[in-house]
Amino acid sequence: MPGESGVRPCRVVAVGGGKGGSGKSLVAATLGIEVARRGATVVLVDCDLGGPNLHSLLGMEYPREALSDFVLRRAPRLEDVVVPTPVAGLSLIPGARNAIGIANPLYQQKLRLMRALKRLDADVVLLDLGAGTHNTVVDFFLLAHLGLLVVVPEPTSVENAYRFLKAAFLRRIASLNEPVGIRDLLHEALRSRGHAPLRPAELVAAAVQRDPTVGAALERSLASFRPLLLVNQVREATDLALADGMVEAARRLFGLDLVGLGALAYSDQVWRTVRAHQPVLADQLGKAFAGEVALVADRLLQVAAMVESQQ
Amino acid sequence: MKPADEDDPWQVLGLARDADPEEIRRAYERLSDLLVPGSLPLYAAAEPEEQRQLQQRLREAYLRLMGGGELVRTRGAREASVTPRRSGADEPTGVEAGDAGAPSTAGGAPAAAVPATATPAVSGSRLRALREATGLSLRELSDRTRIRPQQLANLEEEAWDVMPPRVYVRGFVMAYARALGLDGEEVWTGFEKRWRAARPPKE
Repeated sequence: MPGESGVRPCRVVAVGGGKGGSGKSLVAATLGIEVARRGATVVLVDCDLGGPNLHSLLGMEYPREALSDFVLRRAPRLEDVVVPTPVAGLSLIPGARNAIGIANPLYQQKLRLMRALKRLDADVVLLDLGAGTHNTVVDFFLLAHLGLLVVVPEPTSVENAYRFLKAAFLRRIASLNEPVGIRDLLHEALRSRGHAPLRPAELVAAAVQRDPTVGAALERSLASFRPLLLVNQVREATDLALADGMVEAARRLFGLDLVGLGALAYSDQVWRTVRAHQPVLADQLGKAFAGEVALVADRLLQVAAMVESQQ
Repeated sequence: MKPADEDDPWQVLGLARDADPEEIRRAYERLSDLLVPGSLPLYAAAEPEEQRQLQQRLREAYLRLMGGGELVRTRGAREASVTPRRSGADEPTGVEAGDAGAPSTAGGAPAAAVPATATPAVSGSRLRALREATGLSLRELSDRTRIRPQQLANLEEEAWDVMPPRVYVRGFVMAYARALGLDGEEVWTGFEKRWRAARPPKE
């Protein structure tokens, strides 16, 4: 059932990481709309259980059914909480309603949710994650087929992005089924670095020296960890290259291979649209912005196809 | 991925081994622009010293590929000349990480390296060509070396008559060379041959 986009069911892309206010929800929504416009079936999922708002970006009212109903088993099937949106081909799973304590689901709940998400009848499933580096966000980022990190050209956002990447990598290797003292290794590496930033590649190198089998597992884990990176709200031409710069910096300083998806310019029109509680449709956002979103969607679908062919 | 082999200039610049000079220059300019110390992509990613080393490695790789090969510091020389300036606390773990990742890759045979046993003469115009190859202006080089631009220009023009005594010239040439990522001793040995040839032996 691949649409024109050539995407097979079902690609789960998690949009998240880093700082609040970098436009993760807007990126998820506009990309979802763009991919749906190309004929693919898309489900947007509001995984920000602590502060859901995707429905607002789509110009929808507060929903009756929500993801939290599935997590708390009030709705037996995930399909029960999928609601249609004003955009053809695009459906939404809204976030939490007023459930207290749902913002941090248990790991088992997350696994069950991710299994269900990967089984959804759709070409692309886009998860909108919350801000920060806590385990809920990191786990969804890692459990998805692809993780997309959104940064804005500000030191605070760049810092948070690197922090998020390292936290995600550490969480990833911590979940490996190897009988290793990864914790010991980590403590050692941190101690030897002093106050200097931790380098995942160094950690892996230290593991290789200590135990080749474990080291090889970590190397594989590092090599297959390829988060996507998008720069949002660019106001200065020089910041258009920020994604490229971060890709090079992450490769050289951390040994992490990121995939740059380019940049989206800051747009007053986008802000006004959101402010007016209108859906963030391309024709509302202006030609230039729509063109940029289309380019990002192109690259995203290329990467998705590449990852698919490697698996 | 494996950490790039820091001794292989092709890998440092992310180039295929058949890249032509134009591609080499473009790769160097792109990377040195993207990774300027203090720039946004490096924010909170590395200590200031590490950021400078990153830029320095790019420059060294570029110089090697552009024909400054025999004048580029070897790894041992690099550590010897870098260490004294550091506080000594956080020594080169980065280099060790590179070592550990390296063996399985292509052996890292440096393209145009291995210092020649007899250093050829290094002329002022050779210095200028190397400086220009890295895109540094006299003013920028002056900022790095804290030597006045006119003195640097005098070296490039081999204006022997207006140069200060030998010991100062030696200091200038060594600083000039190091700022370009070259081996100070090696460059001075070469430049001194020009100096000797031009000056009467009494000095």
